[in-house]
Amino acid sequence: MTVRKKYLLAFTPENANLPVIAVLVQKFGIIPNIMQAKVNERGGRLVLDIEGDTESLEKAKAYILEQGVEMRELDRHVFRDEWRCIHCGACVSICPTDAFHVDMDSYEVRFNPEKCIACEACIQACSPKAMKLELW
Amino acid sequence: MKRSYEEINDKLSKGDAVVMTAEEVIGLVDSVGVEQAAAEVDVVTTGTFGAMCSSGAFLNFGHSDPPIKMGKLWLNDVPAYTGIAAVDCYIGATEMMEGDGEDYGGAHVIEDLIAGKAVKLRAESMGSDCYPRKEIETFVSLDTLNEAYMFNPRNAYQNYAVGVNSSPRTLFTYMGKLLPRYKNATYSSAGQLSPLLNDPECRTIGLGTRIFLGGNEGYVSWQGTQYNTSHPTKNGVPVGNSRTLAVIGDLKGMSTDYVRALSVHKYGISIAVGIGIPIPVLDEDIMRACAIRDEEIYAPVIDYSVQSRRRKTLAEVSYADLRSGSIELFDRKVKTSSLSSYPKAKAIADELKAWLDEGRFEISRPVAPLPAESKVKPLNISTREELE
Repeated sequence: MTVRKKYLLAFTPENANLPVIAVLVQKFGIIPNIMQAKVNERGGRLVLDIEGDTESLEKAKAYILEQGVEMRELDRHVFRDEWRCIHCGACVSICPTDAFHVDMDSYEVRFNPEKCIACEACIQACSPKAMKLELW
Repeated sequence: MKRSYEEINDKLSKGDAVVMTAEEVIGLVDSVGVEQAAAEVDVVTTGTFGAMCSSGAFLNFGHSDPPIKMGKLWLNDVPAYTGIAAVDCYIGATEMMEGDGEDYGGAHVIEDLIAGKAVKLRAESMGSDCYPRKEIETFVSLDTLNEAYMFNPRNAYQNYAVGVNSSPRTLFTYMGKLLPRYKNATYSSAGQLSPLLNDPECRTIGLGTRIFLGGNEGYVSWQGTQYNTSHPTKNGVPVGNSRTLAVIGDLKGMSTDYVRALSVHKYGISIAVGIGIPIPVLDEDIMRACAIRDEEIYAPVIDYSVQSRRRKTLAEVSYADLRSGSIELFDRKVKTSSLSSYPKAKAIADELKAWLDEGRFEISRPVAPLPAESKVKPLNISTREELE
């Protein structure tokens, strides 16, 4: 079965050189889409949108964890502080994946975290600062 | 049909008045007509909740022992204006925290005070015979202050522009993030719920009008700055940013549900202020004006990449179109974002309606009208000789 999931990979200085993307593609036949990457000699993090079959994905995960790289599934990495949200709608037109929509009865803004790719566009656009990034 | 302020207040005090929101009367006028609706409804409530930069609060701290005449003053490291008496200040909403404070400013100080939080006060002075103290550092809260009242020179804009960006780069403006090449459009008005769009010539809104301000009672204190009656109208309301209000109200008793600090990315600090104004239905013309709907209210589309005050209107679009999620511009579909909150505007109109229904709020006849005509002058570079 093919699945598509988002993962956050955290590197330490010891494993920051590991060619994770190449390994995922070549060794496990997985298609990673890099959504965020900030890795240097001191470590860092990668956010990947991964597509592959369940079995390969499990094997790849085991391999990556063996190298000492932390790997955690991201399902709600951008979240909304419901109290700070004033339901203006500033986020609606700047989201590249249409993760926000306005409910036409209440005119409240609905957020669908499943569509979110953690690009952080809404975090910039949200002036009441209701949209927040949660990375471990 | 004629109705007086006194009649309405008499009915309100007895609990006999019929109060409806500006959204509700649209449906009523549709089904029974203006005459019947005017006969049935005594007061129409309105609301708006959006960024209103020209806002702030006067605070009085009381005197320390020994006393100080505060010359320079910071509240949570945000400078406040002290060029008035010894322990009075004005904290402006858009003032930014000194140092590394892009996300904190005067608006946050005001929100924190309303929330009941302690705020750090630091002040310096030259020292004098009557005010010997030269510096002070302490904490204050809304409870420890003598007076704390919001005084906003320009709020509740009657309509506003729609922002777009024709340039190849993203712009960060007070109209929010504007994507390159007309990829989005932003607007900021409560439209059919907005106070000054429901009484477009300010027949019932004037100096002294009692209003809902930030969750508390407040008053219209003057015409707002840049009060402008010169825009052309469509369906009886101006197309573009026109009349404004200066408002005043006690910070003690306000709610952070209706006063919210904003940090506009790469622009600065602003504050969302909730304002609701009751409109007494004195005659049928007032009911007709209150029944205006988003389809009939138009806003000018302005290109914010033109960095000059001579920006042309690219198009005029209705709030119904804007609220639908996209507008047509140059034969293309452009996604829209509201910057003011319609749900909050509705909540304000509902809350004000509840206050009126419960007899907790009287409507007031203006002490004096707002200007019938007023234009906005630009700032030109002039010499003293040219002006004297």
